[in-house]
Amino acid sequence: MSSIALNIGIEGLLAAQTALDTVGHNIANANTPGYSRQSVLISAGPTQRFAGRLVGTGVRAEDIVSVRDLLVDRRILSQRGLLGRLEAKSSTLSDIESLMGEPGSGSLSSTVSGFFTGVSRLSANPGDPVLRQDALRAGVDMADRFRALETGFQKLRKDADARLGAQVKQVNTFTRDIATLNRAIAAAELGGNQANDLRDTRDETLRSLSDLIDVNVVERHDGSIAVSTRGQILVSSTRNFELESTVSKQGESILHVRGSDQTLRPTGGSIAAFLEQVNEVLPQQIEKLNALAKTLVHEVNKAHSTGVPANGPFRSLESTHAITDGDGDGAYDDELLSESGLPFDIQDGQLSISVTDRVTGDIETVQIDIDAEETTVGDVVSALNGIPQLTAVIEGDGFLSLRAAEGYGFDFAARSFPTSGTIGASTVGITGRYAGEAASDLTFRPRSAGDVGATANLLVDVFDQSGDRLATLDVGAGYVPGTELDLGNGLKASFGLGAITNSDSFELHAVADGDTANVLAALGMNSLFEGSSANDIAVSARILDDPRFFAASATGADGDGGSLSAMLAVSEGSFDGLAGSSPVQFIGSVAADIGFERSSAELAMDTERALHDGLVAQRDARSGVNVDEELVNMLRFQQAYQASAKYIQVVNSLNDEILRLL
Amino acid sequence: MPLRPTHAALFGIVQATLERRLSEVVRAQGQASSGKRIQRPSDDPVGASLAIDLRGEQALVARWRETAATSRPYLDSANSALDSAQELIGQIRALAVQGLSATMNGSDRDGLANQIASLKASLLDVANTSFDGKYLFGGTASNAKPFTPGADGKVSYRGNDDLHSVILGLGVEVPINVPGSDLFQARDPRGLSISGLSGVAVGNAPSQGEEWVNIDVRHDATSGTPGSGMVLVNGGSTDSFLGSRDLVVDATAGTVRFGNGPLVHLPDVADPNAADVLVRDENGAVIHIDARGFDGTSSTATMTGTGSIRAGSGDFVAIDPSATAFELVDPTTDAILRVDTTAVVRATRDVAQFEGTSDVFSAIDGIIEDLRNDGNLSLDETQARMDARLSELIRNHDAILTGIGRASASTQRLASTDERLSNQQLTVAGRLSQVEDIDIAEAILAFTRAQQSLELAQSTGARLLQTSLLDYLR
Repeated sequence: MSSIALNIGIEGLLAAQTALDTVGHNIANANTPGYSRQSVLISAGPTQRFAGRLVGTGVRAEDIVSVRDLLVDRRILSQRGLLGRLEAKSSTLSDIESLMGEPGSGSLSSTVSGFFTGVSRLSANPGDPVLRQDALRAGVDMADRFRALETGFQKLRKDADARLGAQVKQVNTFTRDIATLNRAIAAAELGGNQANDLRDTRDETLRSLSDLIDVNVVERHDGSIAVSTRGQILVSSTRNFELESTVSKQGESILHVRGSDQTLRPTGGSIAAFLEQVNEVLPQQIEKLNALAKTLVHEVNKAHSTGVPANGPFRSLESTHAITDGDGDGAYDDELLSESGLPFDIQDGQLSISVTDRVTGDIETVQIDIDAEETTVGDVVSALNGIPQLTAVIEGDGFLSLRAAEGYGFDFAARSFPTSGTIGASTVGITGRYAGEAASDLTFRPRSAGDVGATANLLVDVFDQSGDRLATLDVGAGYVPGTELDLGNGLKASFGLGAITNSDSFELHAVADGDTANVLAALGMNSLFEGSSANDIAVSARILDDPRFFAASATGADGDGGSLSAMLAVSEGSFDGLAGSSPVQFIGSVAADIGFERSSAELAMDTERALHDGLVAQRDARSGVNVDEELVNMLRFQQAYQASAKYIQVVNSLNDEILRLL
Repeated sequence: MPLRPTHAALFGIVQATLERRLSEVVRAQGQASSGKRIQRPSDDPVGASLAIDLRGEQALVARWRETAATSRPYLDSANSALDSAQELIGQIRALAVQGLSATMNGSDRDGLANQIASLKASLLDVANTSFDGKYLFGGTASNAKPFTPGADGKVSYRGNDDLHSVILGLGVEVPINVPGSDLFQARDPRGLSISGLSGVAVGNAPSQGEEWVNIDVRHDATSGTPGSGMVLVNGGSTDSFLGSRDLVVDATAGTVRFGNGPLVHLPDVADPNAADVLVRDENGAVIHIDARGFDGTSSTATMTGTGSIRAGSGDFVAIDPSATAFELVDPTTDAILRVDTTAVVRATRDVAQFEGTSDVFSAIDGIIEDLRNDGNLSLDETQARMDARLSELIRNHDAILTGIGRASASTQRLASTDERLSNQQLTVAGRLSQVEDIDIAEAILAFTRAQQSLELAQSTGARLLQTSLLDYLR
């Protein structure tokens, strides 16, 4: 009897002690992240048959268990993955917003706008050298900003890639820890007990892992967990499989398990966000920036290249985009012009070249036909060489060089030609400037025979190249020979004394645009901007060296600002390469898109964080330590301990009584 | 299931709440201090996109207004120059008309010619007006003097006739110059006219040329013998009549009459004046008669004068009295004149004018030439020539007035466009402010509210965190 009684007392003490230990452990770990409160499973001791009765044998502390809600834990993992991704996404988008700085001063939209303002100021006074310098400076600012932005985006991409690498290393550390914990837990639980603290640590590591990458967790019988992401195993019972990120041939960062070549595309965690940044978001931004730079360079150059510099027609001119020898035969002549490695496209059309005799001031205009499908580089060079006083040659490095003989100059302005000729015996003189949109070849044909200024009703019809009659001119009686008659399109024709018949004719090429094939912009001849993308756009070095090469005039007169007007039209035009927007509108929509993405990420983050906090609260409600509760427990078990101690004392004194009887 | 609160949860909640309230305060402060509701596109993406568009529009309108403002002085300067020009021409006109008066003599006319020459020099200066280093009347060739006199004194135009248009809106182009060729070289070719004192008339075939060509008609020979014992003087070399006319001597009245001209009294045979009697016909053409051999009889004799004609510096060619489209060429100017010589009556220097082709300077040159009268023409000859010159001058005067009208019209357009643009600027600024800027009162309110919420959260949080059972256990 006494042994049972003493046992009962001792069991009671031990149980209370264990409970107190647990209370103390809970209180000590009240602020340990991921700690689940532990409680002792206390049950009554086994019943024994003694003296014909079933008696209890006290209390047993069976096991210490921790209180967990597995479902909530799993849901927390996926929430953390979501949050991790949104946070990383929002922070990188914020970096992009800061880099772009829209719509503040110094931003791309303001420097682009500043360039067009500089051009506009110059257009009111095209010959003014100060305004010209200002416009060039504004162009330099714009080009600098493009390059700085491109460099900035590249740097952001490198940074995101570096962070991706660091986080991959962290994932590997976590999975290694989980594998270690797996082994420890399996060993510890062999005895049938729960390794509570080890499990808590493993859970916390799992949560940290979910921040980085979305995971799937399956618990095994031996207490170990298998962790996988997107079907690929990261941690098995005893070992982990490391992740690594490599760069593909296209420059993409690929995530995969070391040793496997299957690409991982995580959907949660900050790694997912960084992968998206590196592989999609930042390259897209760079692509858009390049598209804008290319469109601006091309369109502005198209307007500029048919202009005449302030110091008169060119004596010599070099191209700035090289022709590449595509078939490697060492010669450039056989390359198709449209496939010779030039950064801009060529269309079917004509190139006008005017050669000016500096002494007499006479101008001869010639047109070269360009067929995008057929014209080779050699065709163009020989056509240019065929023009009197001009020599053209492709230099060794692929650049076209055009030179005028001594005393002559050339330009590509739109000039209608010829400016004089004959129809029958009458001299025709052409004056004025063609105001039409598209070039046209006009034919003058008398309707009947007669003498200019004498025969009654002597009419000359003017037909355009599609055969439509543009005008009818009365050069018969009543017409003063030599008087200019309006053709209705800005051009005027005068007829001298002489006889004309209806088998005579006169051809006039009315030219609206000196380069309808856009050859000059493709080759980079007489361009305002060099380069063709955001990382090499720059104001032409030739023009910066001598600003008089800024070709503001479309006619050669120094007070004319025709090319400037054409450049200004670029700022309001809509372009296919910019999805139909104007340059500033394009920048605005890009900035707005980033803004939308970021603000919706932030909104989503708020929502998900609220959900996450709710889940954490739920978990905490089950597994968290309430210090007051533990203190109450402490009092409880303290009293229980005291009571058991008192009981033992009483049992002892009973024994002493018995012994005294002996 | 009632949620079981834990202390860890509690601390977490208080922390999170404080963090949120603080970031709201920071945001409100940012807005209030910068005055901008949108500090980055993510604050309000729709608003940010609109703001960028509006700023683009602002920049555009500002550009146009600036262009209008910088262009205005050029137009104003041109306007005032043109006013001076038309005044100068008016003065030249008045002086030229004065010169036509019969009360003037040669030296008076010379004086007028000098005055007009100096007015012409002033007009040339006006035509070469420059403003801010740009020549205003050269079209778009504004870096060189547009009107320059050549070695022969003739003023030529080195500019062009292009308009310099500036952009003041989408598709709105306003010209801010009037080309000198439209002002001082306005052309309105109307064919040939001849001053015609000689009887030469415009032929019935077209002529071609510019400005003026002198037509010289010269008397070569007189045939026929005057009756009544009289003879020609010097074989008729000093005569100026052409064609056939009757010389009628009336012995009774003692007069001689040539054609339908005035009666001339024959002087006494002993009178020294009888050696050379000047008889005029109705056209003012002259025959010289030596009357010393007058025999006192009446007679009628048919006298015929033949001559030749040339244009400009060409060679003299015999006059064909039946030609209706006689061709004369001036080798200096390449002018081709077709003239009717059927009614040529006297030798003189006529001026053939291609109407509507003279610029103002050559018209003035012509007037000066006629006033100086180096060719010693008679008054009626000079008057005939001056009429032609004056009509050209008047035509050019009108061209300048038209030019003034054009310049004024452009000035008007600039002014009204600028007004419209300034209104547009205000509207856009207003819209931009609505999108971008904060309302100050609202911002301050928001800041105060955020601050109050923060303080509330702080004080309640503090209370909550400090309650613990530990305070009450012995």
